[in-house]
Amino acid sequence: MKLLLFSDLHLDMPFKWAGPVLARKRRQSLRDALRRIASLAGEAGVDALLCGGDLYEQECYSSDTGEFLRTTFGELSPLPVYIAPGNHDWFGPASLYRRVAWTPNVRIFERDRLTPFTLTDGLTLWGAAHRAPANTDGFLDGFAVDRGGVHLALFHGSERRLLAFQESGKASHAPFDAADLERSGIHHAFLGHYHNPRDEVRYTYPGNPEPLSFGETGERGAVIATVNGDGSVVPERRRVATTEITDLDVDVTGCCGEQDVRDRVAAARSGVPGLLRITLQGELGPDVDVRPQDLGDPAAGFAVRTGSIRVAYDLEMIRQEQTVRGQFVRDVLDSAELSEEERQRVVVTGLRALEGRSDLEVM
Amino acid sequence: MRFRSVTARPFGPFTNASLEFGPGLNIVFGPNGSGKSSWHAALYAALCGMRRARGQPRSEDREFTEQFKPWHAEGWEVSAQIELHDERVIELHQDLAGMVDCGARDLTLGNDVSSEIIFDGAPDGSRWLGLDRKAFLATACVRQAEILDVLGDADALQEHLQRAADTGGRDETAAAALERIDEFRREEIGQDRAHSTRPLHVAMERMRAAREALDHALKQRENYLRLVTDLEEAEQRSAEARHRLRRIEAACALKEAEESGQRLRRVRELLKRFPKGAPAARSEDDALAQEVASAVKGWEDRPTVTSLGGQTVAQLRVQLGALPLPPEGDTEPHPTVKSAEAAFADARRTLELHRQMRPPEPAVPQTGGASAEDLREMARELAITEPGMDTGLTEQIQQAERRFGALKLRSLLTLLTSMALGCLAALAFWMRHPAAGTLLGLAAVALLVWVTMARADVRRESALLAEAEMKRGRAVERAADWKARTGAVRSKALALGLEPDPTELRLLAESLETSAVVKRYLDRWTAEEAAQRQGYDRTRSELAEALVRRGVSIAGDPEAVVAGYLQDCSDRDRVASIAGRRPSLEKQLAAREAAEAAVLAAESARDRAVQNLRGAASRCNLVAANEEALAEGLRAWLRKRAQEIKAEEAAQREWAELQALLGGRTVADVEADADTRRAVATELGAGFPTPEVVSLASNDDLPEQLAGLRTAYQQARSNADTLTGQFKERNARLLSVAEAEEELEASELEGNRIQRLERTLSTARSFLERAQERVHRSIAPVLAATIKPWLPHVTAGHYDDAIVNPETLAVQVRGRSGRWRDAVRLSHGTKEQVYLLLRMAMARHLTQPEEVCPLLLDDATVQSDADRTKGILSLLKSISQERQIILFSQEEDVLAWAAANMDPSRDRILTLDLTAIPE
Repeated sequence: MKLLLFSDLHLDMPFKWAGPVLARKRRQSLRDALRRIASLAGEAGVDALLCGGDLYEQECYSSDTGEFLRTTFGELSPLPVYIAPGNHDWFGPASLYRRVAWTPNVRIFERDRLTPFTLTDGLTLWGAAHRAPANTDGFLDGFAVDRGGVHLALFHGSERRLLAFQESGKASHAPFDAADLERSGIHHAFLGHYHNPRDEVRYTYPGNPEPLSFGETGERGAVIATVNGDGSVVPERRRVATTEITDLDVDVTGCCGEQDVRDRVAAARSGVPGLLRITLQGELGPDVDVRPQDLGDPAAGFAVRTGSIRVAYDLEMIRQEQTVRGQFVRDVLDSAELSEEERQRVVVTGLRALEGRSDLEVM
Repeated sequence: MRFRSVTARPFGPFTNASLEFGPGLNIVFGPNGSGKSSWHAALYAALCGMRRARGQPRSEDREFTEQFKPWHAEGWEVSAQIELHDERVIELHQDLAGMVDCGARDLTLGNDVSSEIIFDGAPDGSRWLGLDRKAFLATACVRQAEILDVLGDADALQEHLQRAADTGGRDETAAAALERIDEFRREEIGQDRAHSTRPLHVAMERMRAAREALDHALKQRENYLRLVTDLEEAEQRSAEARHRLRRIEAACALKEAEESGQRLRRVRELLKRFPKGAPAARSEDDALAQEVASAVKGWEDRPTVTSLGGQTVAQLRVQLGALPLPPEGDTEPHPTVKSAEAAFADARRTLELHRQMRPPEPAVPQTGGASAEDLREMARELAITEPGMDTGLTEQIQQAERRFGALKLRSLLTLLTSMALGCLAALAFWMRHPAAGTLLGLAAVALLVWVTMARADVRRESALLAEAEMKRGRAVERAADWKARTGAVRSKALALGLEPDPTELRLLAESLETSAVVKRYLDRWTAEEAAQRQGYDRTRSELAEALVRRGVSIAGDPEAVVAGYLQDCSDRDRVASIAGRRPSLEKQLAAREAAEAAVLAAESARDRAVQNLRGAASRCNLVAANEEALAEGLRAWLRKRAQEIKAEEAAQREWAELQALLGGRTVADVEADADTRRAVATELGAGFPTPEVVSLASNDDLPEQLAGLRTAYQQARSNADTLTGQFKERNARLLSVAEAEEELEASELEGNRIQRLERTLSTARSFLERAQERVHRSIAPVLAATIKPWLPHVTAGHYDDAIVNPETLAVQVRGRSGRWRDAVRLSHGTKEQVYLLLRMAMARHLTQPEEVCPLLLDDATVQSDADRTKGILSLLKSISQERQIILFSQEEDVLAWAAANMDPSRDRILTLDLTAIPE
């Protein structure tokens, strides 16, 4: 038995870090990724397609999303498609899942406790749905299989131990411990929610198949899971993303002007496909005026931001001066009411003003 | 710090050339083109070097390179030996071309001390002063142009001081920086107010618009999702209504199929009964049947004839004629007469009782017109006794007069004795008997003292005597007043004809008051008697009116008239009870008349029923012994006929039923209809359990249920269709929440950037302003204290005090006149010397406390006349006592002054050779 697993596609999600043009492209890329997943299902000859939730965003879905999903999954017919709604596409009263006239091959888990589907004789798929955007209890709490054979599970939930390894701000939904799987008789669980991919003996997190933001690491995509007779699973990861996304740091230390910085950024960008975000690091001379927004091209998926940029004023020397300049630097650097970042920004602004410069905005 | 030497190897026009300097005043003299500026630059470059940084050099560095790179040699190097305050001797070497062989070495210890002074990639000796190469240039190097600025521009001195105080002279003033920040804020941020086109307002407007757009999109989506939910529910309700309708439709179809089958079977059955077509109808004996039925009915309903007993109509009419007519008038006393009679009796009794209680006539005493109050007042006045004189008071006055006289006499005698003793004492002294004189004098004084003390007793006795006499006067006045008043009252009583005796007068007053009381009682009785008499007359009149209303005439005693009225009532009552039997007798008469008429009518009806019965029996050919037998025979005739009619009617109904079942169709049509209905029922019932449909089909109210469910389904479907229409319409116009969120994020990023910039600029401005104020306040007294001791020297004693404004650093000086004067208004000579002093003060302030910064002056006296030049040189000579001065000059006057005034042990004159400069 071969199954194709994906999750956390987040169709129609907002891309706040991108401009309007790129954001629309990103949303289209999410749809393209689903088409590639569907194609992969046919190419790999899997027996079923599983979705571990967060297929789309209930709060943002567009008017044609339902039809897009119906068509995409309908074209796979008679290949069964099993969907376990997550906390972003929760199965509520106004859920898109209720409104779409699904083709018969599409089966959506609607209940908030594990419900069985017999895939083949002796192989049962248990699935459950989030019926609210938050406060969903763990599906494995008090659960145990009630029949023989091999048991698989498909749901959107948080393995407690892994929460610490996820991106900042990730909340726990339908939590469980890995030990709960063995206790409840589940041989392997196909999961959604964590965007960082994870392959464990008893569970698999495929991760988000299409990049959602910069800084994503790990081999994300769809997983072809071969289920053996003893319930063990052999995962095979396949890349389905239509876009590459890259994060780079560029050291601008020693740059004598904006052109130097541009040259280094251009050199770093050269040959990098897809979306690129460059973070400027290092030390810049006080005379150099760099505005990251002038270096990037958001509509083309190229963003530039400042990291730990330090302006190369010799502040220790200046603060020893018996001048207003020295007094200003002393006061600012000794100020407890300012953060370190604010101190740097205020000092550079003041020094530039004293130098008679007009580039008073410090990035 | 001081320079020991500088070596150009090569630098500008020089190669391996050196200059050595003394610790005091150094004059480097040479004409134009002799390389003074090059040596000035070499000193600066040897000490400070050049910044070593990647990328393109700055414009000032390029300019310096162009001006002072070697003219004819490879490389570009310069070195200098300097002596620090800590007595270290350092050799600085600057590889200006390659920026590689640069360093600083302690010549005593031989170690490399470059690391102490590395700045911007190269050794910078000014770091030992606490400066850097840019600040050293601004602090230690005084150029001709700066002095000219100070002389030519009134604000230059102040600006120079501000620039030096604010940035060590290298950059702008803090005031300019603050203005630059303000300008930047105005241009790049602006205000968040209406119609502003500045970035802050634009960004805030964008944020507000984005927030509104997102709110709108979210609200629209909320409504959209609510609509989706409503639509789902409406569709669900519609499906359920349709399901219920289909079930009843299936039941109805089943029922119709069954009915159709039954109809077909009935048609076939009826057709068998009428093989010849429609049955015939009969109507020829209907009239006879009706006559027989009427006759039988009349016989059965015939009345029974009864016989009457009791009084006949004639007897009753005789009794009625003997009854009297009912009397006219009251048969019992009328209530108005009874109540008027009672009221009249009460009024009469009350009047009689009141008349029995009449008070006697009052006896009024003669008082001559005086009132009881007057009589009592006169009695009170006459009863007052004559006030007597206090005998104790008279005795007291006599005693006081005696004591007073004795005291006065004793005092007089004692005074005379004292005077006599005084005379004797004077006589004793005159006769040289001092002891006797003293004794006599003391005695005289003692007596005089006693007299003085006795005067107080005299005054007290005098006061007591005066008080006693005053009391006696008041007693005499009271006795005279009593006599006058008593006499007046007596006269008044006698005039009224009364005895002036208090007791008589009081009794007379009491008698007068008693007669007044009795008179008031009599007046009140008379008034009440009149009122009761009036009541008596009124009730009598009301009784008469009541009797008249009852038809009784009033004449004589009302009580007798009332008694007659009561007797008449009793008589009329007795006659009325006899006449009251008339209605009962009249009713009996009417009933008797009706009963006799009814007996006559019954006998007539019975006779008609017998005749009709016999007539009908005759037409039916029936013969019987009596009427009852005839009636029974006719009843049998009627029953037989009814059975025949019933059979014919049943055939007619069945025929009509058959025609109705066929409805103009053939049997084959009916068979086809039954087949069709059966098929429809099978199709509609396919989705439901057969027993359930069969059970429903047995309900009698299926049509009502069907109509209700059709209405419910249509309503549910209509509702769902309406919502579907709304959904499609909203679905087509659904705003993108994602795009709205993205726009809000972008606008917030921009808004936050501008707000952060505003905070940064505001904070920087605040810190800068505070730093400016603080430094200016600290530096102002330093500058003033530095130039103050020098002022008398540089102004030939005209000014001896100076102050510096801590806010603006404006310098003011004060002379013997005591009036403060702006330094910029001084003479040129004085002003340039004050400027040099301020430069020295500023250099002292800006350098490390333990170090002394040398001053390098380039043609500082070139624009001065001879006197001003001497003044400057004299000042510099004085300053050189504390710091090294290196003055570059082309003036012969300077050279001459130096030759005459320099100290060879500390000062140097260095003359540049024009020929040493290659062409």
